[in-house]
Amino acid sequence: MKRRLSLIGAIGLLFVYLTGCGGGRTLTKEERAQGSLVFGQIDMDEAPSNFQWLSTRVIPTPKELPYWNFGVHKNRIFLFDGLPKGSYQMDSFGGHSSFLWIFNNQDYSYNFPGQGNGFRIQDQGVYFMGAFKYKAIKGKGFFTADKWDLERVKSPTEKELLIEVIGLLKKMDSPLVPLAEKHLRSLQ
Amino acid sequence: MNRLTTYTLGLALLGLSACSIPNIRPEAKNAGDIGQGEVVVVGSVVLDPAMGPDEQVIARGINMDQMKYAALAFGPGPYQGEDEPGMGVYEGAISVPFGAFFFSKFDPEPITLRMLIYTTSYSVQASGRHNVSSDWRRAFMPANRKLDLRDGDQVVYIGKLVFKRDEFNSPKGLVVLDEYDRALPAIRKRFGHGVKVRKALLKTE
Repeated sequence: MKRRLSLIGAIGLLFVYLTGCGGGRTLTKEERAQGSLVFGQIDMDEAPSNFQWLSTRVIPTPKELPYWNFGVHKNRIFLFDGLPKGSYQMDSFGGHSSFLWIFNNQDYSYNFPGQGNGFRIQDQGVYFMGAFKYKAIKGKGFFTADKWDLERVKSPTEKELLIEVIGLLKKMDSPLVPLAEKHLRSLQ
Repeated sequence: MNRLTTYTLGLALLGLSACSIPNIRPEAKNAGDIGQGEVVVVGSVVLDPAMGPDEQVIARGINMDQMKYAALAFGPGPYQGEDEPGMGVYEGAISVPFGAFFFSKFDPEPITLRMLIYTTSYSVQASGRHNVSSDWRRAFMPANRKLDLRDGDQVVYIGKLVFKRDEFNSPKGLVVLDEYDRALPAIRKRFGHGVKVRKALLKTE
């Protein structure tokens, strides 16, 4: 499915997140221990930016704290340790391009459409969202926006990625390491 | 729909798309509005589950009820374009609040209801003094049902269109309910008893 590429100044968007108008909240370790591990990967090699953030929207959307922000690691892995039960819809992700490896010269925000792209957390567990590759679809004219697509790829597998994620969780002192390791054993 | 409503919706669409304004299908307000060779199509559209009062997230300061309306898009046959259609899909569309009757003018010839479109969120971001961008997200519910309109028709009731969905606005089917008994008084109130009314519920293409 094709998506529009929005060259939004993500500074504004991030400002919104950081000020709490649309932002996520910080969970305590006890709260995280009750939630689920949700993870996946986006390969941004073909994207005009790197991968710095990913946001989901709570469904139905509350007025207070409507978004939950995933952590992004190694410029490709997104994970949330401790996501509470509920329904969520992928909202947007983004990053920035760089010039001469030094300057951040453009912030990018990629918005998911208003339907689909949702998931449900009904029981505490480990949820693999999949491995995806960003595919650019060029616009046809000056006023035609470029589009993008997230294409599902077979590699890395859930098991391969989970091994990396467990390493990250240990560094984060996550309470969900035992849950993730138990799930890894079930994948053997 | 009055001219101002059409204009504001068109203006919104223009601003959102930077292209020409689509022509929304005109509404018949009374019997005198029904021209020679025109047929008024009557029906209503709802979602199941229904649209929540705060479900559509529209940016503060965007004072346009039309942003929350249902848009029914029509064409000569089933829609076969991109998943997320461009603005051209609004050409000849009906724009109406969820649950309200529409009374829209058509030519008396078969035409296909292609889809329902509605706004899920509309926001505006500003960065710096000159950079403003909008983010308009919509849901598209396929219909692809044929309207049986014929020469000599004046008013045709097509049914209550119930678009089923899940919590992520993924389409789960269209059901057409016969609420003719509720629609007929509204038709008579608007057009009087001198117009010919026919019931022709939407058919599968």
